[in-house]
Amino acid sequence: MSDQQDENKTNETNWIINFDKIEDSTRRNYFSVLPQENRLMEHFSEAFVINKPKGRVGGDGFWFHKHGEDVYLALFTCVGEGHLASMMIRIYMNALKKMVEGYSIDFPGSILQFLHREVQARFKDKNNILLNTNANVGIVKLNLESKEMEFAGANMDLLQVSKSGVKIVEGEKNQVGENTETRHSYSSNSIKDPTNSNFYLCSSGVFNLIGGPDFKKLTMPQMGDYLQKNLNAPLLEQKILVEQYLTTWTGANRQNDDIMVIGFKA
Amino acid sequence: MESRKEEFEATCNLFINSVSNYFKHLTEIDSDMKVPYLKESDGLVLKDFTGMIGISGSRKGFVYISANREMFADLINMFIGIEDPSEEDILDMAGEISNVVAGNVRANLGANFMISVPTVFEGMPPELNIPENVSMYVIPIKWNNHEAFVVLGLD
Repeated sequence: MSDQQDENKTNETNWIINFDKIEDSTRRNYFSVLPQENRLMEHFSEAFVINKPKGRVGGDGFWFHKHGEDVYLALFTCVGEGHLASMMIRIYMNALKKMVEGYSIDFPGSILQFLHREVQARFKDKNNILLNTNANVGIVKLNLESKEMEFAGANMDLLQVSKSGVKIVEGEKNQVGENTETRHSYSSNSIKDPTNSNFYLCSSGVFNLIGGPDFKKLTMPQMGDYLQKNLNAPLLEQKILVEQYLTTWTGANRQNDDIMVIGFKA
Repeated sequence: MESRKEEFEATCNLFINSVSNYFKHLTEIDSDMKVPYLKESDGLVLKDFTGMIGISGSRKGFVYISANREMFADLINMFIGIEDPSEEDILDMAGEISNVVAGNVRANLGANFMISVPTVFEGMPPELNIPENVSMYVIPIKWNNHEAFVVLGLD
């Protein structure tokens, strides 16, 4: 993936070593564990991925899986940032594979439920760790033939944008993987007539971006309004527009969190 | 105005203290600094995995922390509870410690210096060229029976 953050362009300063010639192994690992954007474009009628970690690596990840006519797409935001969050990306990725590919759990709500238990069990007896094990997760299941679509979210919502307006398909408030005894349950939301809409999953970092005319955090309705104004643009064009919008929103402020946006059409 | 020698020593101490504090506060196991030495011959003193930070501003150079897999694996087990870390985990741990050290030093170095984002690598990348006029100060460190190197190079 070619997304680069300005902070990573070390050649803007006159370093004694040309760091741009030395590949950072952690950055290579972070991007190589995530699916390629092309893979989504093969199965959705249109799709894009924006992935801008704050540093060399980040805590935002996504996972894609096709089984028969069903495709699964999950975006997850591991709490924290940098290298420790990047380690959690691999844990979540492997746990999702285990749930869906290994155990054949196929309802988005059930996947989140089992994912929570899996992560919770993994860290149950680890009391003094410095790592945050919880994550916001949004997961979509789409049947490519019948176009039936379901969504479940753990502290993550799905943006549905169509001619008739912007709809926020709400997930549950509880994150996945919190090491608490609180009961977590996640329900699957059925999406009616998904072929007439564009859908967007956004990491929490998008709504932590401070800027705009009032120097405030970007909100999901604001993002939805912007996307609806550009509803007719092809998604690959929207990718550029969304990147520009987020950059303009942030203005002179530094990117303060990892950013991931996935857009797709059923 | 500080002499270059004093400035060099002050910069060294910042990195030494930052690494030492990292181990002391986050692992609750003190690190033991061995006798530092100036490296005069060509090449770098490297262990298996390294996080390197560039220094720019009134002095140019670099600092890196290099250690073997076992030390990073111990840190991962301690911090994250992963007992069988992958190579990707090991590299991320090398990046994490370099990031924390760089962040602490950045806060203390003053406006005349800039610190780069750490670059993490395994072994000795062929693209890594160190200019001949760089003086390297090697600080061997022992933590939890593992040896690591903190190396400061300044032009």
